[in-house]
Amino acid sequence: MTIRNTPGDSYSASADLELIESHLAKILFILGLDWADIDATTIDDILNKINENYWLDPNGGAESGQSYAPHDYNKINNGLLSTLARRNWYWRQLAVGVS
Amino acid sequence: MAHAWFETNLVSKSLSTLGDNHDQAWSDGTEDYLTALRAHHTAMNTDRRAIATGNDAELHWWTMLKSSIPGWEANVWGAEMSAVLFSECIKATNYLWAIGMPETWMMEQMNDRSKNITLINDSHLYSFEQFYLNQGAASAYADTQYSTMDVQDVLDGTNAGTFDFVHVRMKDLVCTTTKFVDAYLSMLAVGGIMHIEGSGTYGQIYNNHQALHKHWTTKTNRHLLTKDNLLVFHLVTDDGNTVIKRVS
Repeated sequence: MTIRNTPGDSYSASADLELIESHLAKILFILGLDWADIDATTIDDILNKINENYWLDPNGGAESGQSYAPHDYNKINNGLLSTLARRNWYWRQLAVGVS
Repeated sequence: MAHAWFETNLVSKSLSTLGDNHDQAWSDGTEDYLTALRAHHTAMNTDRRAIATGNDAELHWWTMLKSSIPGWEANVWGAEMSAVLFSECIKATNYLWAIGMPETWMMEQMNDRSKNITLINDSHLYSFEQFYLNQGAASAYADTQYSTMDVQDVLDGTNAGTFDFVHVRMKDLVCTTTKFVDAYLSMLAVGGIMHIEGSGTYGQIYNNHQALHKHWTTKTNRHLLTKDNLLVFHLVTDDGNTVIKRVS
């Protein structure tokens, strides 16, 4: 248990970073990327891999206001993973910056 | 032209009063906080390319205020007023907050010795401590006390079942599994209330009914409905608010 009672100085960058990096590592694993390569990996690499795995069909029925289950499946997973990747990528920069 | 959400929050602010101790009309101290926070983010030189941030409001939150227009603080008014509303209604005494906001209402709670405040360890906490607590509006409070928990502590069940008010944002719950939802819900005492801010994902799931079925937060929202011991109220406000009561 790491509850802290030090107002003004209770933020722990190491604990924050540990959680953020566990998120990122899981996303990389889902995409077939390796956390061991994180220093050589860019956010572009991650997003490209997401788009490769969960391709968004530009003609996914949008013209008729309808869509098919496979399109919805890809859209949901693309949106979830890209949002999580971007957020954790950004938060990781902030945590690393004050570590 | 301001977004409709901004306009509705201006109306909300105009038609509400939170009392002398609930001064959420942000002040010079808040402006100074924002200036310091933006300088910090600039110094961090984070990757702000479109591909790195997308159109995620969560990642543009503070930079949206870089060129603030009169009344900009109303942009966060509705959500924070809701937090005050719910905690006032239940007369909470043991709070778990996932966000430290630069506002005197929060300072009031932290200086009330009949209340225990716990903040979650994240970048918001860093900003709160480094750029708000040293502002005059905050430093005027002489007995500020709060505790801090790591998210891992929440996942581990530390202090489970003890908080009578839990205030989280949707960003704290969404992940590839439902473990964060379950963990934060487990923090609630019987009779306790959880307020989830932004559960409509900045209005995205309200575009049409079909959008609900394909949105990446739908799984998280629907998971709230799987618990037998909860009452769940999803309030369709601009950004979405969900209020949950643990009944057993």
